Amino acid sequence: MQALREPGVQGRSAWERFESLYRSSRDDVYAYVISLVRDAAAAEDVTALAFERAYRRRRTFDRRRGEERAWLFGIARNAALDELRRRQRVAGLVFDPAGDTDTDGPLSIIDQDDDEVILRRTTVRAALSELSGRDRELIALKFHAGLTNAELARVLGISESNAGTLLHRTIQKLRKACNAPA
Amino acid sequence: MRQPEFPLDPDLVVELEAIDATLSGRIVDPEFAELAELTVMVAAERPQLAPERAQALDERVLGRFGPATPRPVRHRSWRSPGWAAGLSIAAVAAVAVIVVAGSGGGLSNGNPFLAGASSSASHSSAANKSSSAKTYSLTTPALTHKGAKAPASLGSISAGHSSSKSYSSASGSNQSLAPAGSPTNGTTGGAAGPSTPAPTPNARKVVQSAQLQLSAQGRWVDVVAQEVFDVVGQEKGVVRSSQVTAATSSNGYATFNLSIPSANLSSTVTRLSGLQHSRVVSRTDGTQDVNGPYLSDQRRLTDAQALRTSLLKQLAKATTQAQIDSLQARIHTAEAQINSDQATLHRLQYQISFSQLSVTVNGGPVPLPLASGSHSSGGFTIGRAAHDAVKVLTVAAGVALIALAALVPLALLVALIVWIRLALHRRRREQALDAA
Repeated sequence: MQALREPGVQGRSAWERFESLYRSSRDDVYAYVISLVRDAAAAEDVTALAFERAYRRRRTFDRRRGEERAWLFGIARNAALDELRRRQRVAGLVFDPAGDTDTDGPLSIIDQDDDEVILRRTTVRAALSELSGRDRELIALKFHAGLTNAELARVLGISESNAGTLLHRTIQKLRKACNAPA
Repeated sequence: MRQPEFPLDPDLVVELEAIDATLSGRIVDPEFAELAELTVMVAAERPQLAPERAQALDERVLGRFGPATPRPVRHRSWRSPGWAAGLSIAAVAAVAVIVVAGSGGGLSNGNPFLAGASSSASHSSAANKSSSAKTYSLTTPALTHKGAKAPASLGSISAGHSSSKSYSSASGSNQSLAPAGSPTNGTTGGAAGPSTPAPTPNARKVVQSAQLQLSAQGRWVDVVAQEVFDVVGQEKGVVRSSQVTAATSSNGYATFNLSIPSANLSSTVTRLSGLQHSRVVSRTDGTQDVNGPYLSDQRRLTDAQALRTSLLKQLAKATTQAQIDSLQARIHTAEAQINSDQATLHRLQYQISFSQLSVTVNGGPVPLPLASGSHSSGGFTIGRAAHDAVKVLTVAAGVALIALAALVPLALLVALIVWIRLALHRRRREQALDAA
């Protein structure tokens, strides 16, 4: 985190850089964390903890090892897994579709009255809930946090090609689950 | 741990690119329409942070690390653990360098912990290395006072009582002298020390010996050696052998094997203990009661002489050749016995009359006097302060070395434990994900 470590880089202080990172990543980190811990309050706590750790460890960031977002998601992952260890709770990927989250985002362009869309959406949700924890993590990092395959590999500590392979397998599982007869 | 990269299947790559294109809002090939639709559907399932929760999170994160209380960026703080460890190592290394330089390459000189055990080794190496060192050895013929000739070798003395008395500069305490013939022991140090304990004069035959270890500055070893020669000469003693290695550095060394008239042993040791340019490091006095062996040898000699006289008388009266031959043979044997007994008795008498005194002069740093003597001011000087500093640093280096010897394995063990703990922690985290 060269930019985070050094004040005055490109006229911005370390705090400004951190705030910028927070603003751009807050929702993504939250979406990723809640996918793992599946509890809104816990996800909020873990997200706050992840940013706190990131700020305190900003001197440990090394740009040669990856981008800031990958580094941040690595911290968030450890915090979420620590929370999971503590709580030992298991829940579905979509934990509270009607309450704490608004999952309409990209689908808002689709006619909500379309029964077929609603049906497919329900199918996808069911398929997602059937995935294992590791597969759900891949989905969250790729589709909800928007990480590239390289960043995803950095977060998980695997090679980029391996990350691509794992992601493709997970997509295949989803496709299979979605196309399976009810 | 990162795994090595391997080439992906081209079909797989194309599909992954289609996913990326869909997520970034680009148009994809109709061939991947179904995949693109699935991508959109999955992305739509992204949990959204409710505005009130987002605001609460902003307050928690940004409020806590807000610009009002930014932490000043510290450049390599001296308080950081890395710097502390580096400084510690540098300090230990500096102490070691100073100690090695200050002690002339050997830790034994002046080191109260190491002195003695390694002093001879360091001296010999210094004598070999120093170009300015001069070594000469003197082995005198066994001349004795008043023209007496010392036995070629002094045999061991058996039986009898023995005692020894040691004095070292460490304790500085004097012990009361024991009666003659009884075991005694003691330690002394300082410039002169107490007078040499000697058995109370009586009719018993006693062999005395003493060892004296002196310390002098390297440049004074020559002078001290000459003073030893002078004292021995004045006390009518004999230098049986000596070796003096004088050097300009602090590694001079001298050893003397002396035979001193027993009557003068006490005064000789006292004078040697008070030499001008040296100090007593340790002194050992020993006595051995040889009255029994002496009287036994004397009786055996008398008996042999009586036997020879008797045989000579019988020989005078012998009449046959056979008697003469037999008596002559017995007389020959008796004379051989007499010669042997005389030699033994002579050796014993020499040991009784001349005490063995071993003197060693080390050219290391001279210990500071315990009390101001006639040859030292006892005040503060830069030289003494530097000497004290070197001694303190030497001890500190020794302690640091011992501590390092104990800490390095401990640190390795701690590092191993930490590594195992981190690995277990990582494994448990992954297990938590699997359980989810």
